[in-house]
Amino acid sequence: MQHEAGVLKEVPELRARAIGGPISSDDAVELNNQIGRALGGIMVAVERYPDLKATENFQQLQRSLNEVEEQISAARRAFNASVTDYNNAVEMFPTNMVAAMMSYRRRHLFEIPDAEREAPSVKELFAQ
Amino acid sequence: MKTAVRFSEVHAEYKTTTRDSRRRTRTQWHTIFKGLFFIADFNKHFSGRTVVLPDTAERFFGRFGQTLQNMNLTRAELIKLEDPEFERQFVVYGTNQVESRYILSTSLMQRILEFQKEVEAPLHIAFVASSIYIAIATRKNMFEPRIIRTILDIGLIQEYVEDLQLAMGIVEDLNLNTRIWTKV
Repeated sequence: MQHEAGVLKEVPELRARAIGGPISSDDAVELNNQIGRALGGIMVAVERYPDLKATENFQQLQRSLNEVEEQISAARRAFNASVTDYNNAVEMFPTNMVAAMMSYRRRHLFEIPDAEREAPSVKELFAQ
Repeated sequence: MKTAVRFSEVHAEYKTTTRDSRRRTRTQWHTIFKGLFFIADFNKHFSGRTVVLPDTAERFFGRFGQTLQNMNLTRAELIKLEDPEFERQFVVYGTNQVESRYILSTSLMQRILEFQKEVEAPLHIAFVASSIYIAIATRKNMFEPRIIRTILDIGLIQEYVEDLQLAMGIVEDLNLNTRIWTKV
């Protein structure tokens, strides 16, 4: 129970930080990852309550989470595709001359943080 | 939840009439499409349009082909996807870069590639108004008995069954019964 309360408290806190005022893009990525982990924790906690899992509200939530994940991944891929195009233009002749004049620099792509690159361990999630 | 599907053999043509110097009119029919046309309810919501076409330009011209495709004014925006095999075989145009990628998830791209191997004929796919439209060009007449030859031929029946299975299998092949997103 203690642990569940912790998980449930963590999400609103992270959310408040995410929407409360200006944060750098690095912080945004970090917050995003933390929220992702916390939500993963909720999903596992819910497994212990079959009644809750069966409710319509919860199923709606699960669908929404899948939806959000799919939308975000699409947006990331679109972002990466445009940045790749842009980076190519910055480096290739003849557009690179214009880029040099306007001092356009290469931009960074969205990358998967190391922590998420590891295969998710369900055992670890349960042990939390 | 089962996915609603409709399919049919379609032969779409347009007519042109020309008049020569001796005022004789000549009517000609030009085929737009002939083959199997399949419509299914897609498992995600979307409002724009995305089309997936066989990529001829890139096969002939390589990277330069992509530049040509980008200049194609009759189509919506060119969507460059990250799956190299998919990019080699198909070209994608869409009204919204993010939405097209939302529809064409990495797994769906794989599934389309697999499906393409299975059908052999070039695939044309469109995503409009939360539905998927698939056109598979074929030369033969599907779902029709032959008049002059016997219909008691087991090979013929087998062919019908295969045609039907191909159409029905699309739902499985493209995983359209997976309804884990907000669209029920």
